[in-house]
Amino acid sequence: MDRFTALLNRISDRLTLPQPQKQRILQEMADDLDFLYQHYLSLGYDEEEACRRAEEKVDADEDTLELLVRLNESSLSVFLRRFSLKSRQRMEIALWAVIACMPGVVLLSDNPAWGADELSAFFYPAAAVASIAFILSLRKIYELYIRREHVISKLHRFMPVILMSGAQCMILGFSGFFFELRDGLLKITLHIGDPAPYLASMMQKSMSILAFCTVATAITGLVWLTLTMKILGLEELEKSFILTDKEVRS
Amino acid sequence: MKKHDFEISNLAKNANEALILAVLSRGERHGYQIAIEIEQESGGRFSFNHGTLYPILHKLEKDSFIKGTWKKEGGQRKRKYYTLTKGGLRYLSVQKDEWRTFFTTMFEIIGS
Repeated sequence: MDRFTALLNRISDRLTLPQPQKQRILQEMADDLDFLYQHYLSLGYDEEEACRRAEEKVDADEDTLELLVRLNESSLSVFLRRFSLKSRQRMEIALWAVIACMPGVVLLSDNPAWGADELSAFFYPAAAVASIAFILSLRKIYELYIRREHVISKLHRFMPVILMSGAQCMILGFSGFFFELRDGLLKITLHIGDPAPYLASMMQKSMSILAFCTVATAITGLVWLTLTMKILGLEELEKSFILTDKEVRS
Repeated sequence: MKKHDFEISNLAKNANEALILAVLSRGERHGYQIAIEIEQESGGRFSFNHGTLYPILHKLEKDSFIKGTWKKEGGQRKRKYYTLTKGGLRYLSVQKDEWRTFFTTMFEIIGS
């Protein structure tokens, strides 16, 4: 397989896709190269000619790779590519402004400070998941906007985790909401006397967990979308750089 | 397949798709195994060079006409095998009809 490393690296540089998709395509090509090499050897060609023929079959030109990228990119990427790079940069700035405003709106709203016993049991796992998303988002922001040493193969790193954390937070929010409703209604049903304190506690716990998780999910989702737009822009810039470089060299 | 898909400008695309689907209708194959089979059977008339096979395979897979499955082959090595789906079988049947009509019409005009 080593004999085809240079070709596979060249193709890898031009496949502007997230690492898992890229890896699968390259693995398929590597396997085919090996198959074709063995096939041409069996036809009686020497090693060098078998290698050349195998490479000729698999080595894709720019149009073919472009088509391959289009076929394998996500629906979100297809949608975002409808906008020009400049429009996307403007959208990115607008999204960051919205994200920056969201915690401010929450802090300024008239929310009472709840004590630990007034919080749902689901609050702590939800807070832990939101913290993971927050820390990873900060790291990605640092990598993409501050350090700016972009390694194409690592651009999508942590992005699925950030997205999954947001989804998990939402699931915990809904689970906590319904759990607290059920728990509160059970206590009210079984309790003899004034149900008001139980009702207040149920409302407080169920609404607070739902509100916290909804806000955390919304922020995580927006951060993920904004970072995805940034990554897409960087991939396009990298691709145009490689193509220009190729033209210069040729 | 819609009627208007089968046009002069789409002949190459339709020919490639029909050839690949026809080979896969005989059983599962992996990427260039399909291409080599087509090349050998056509006496070298139809060949897939410069990676042109991949976009066709991936498009057919995206349209659910074929299904790609990774299988382990000897040790840690994995190979992607393609199989024809029921939709693919129907599409192949439509392709055959279209090609038959195409050649009949063609020979009616140019003379057989």
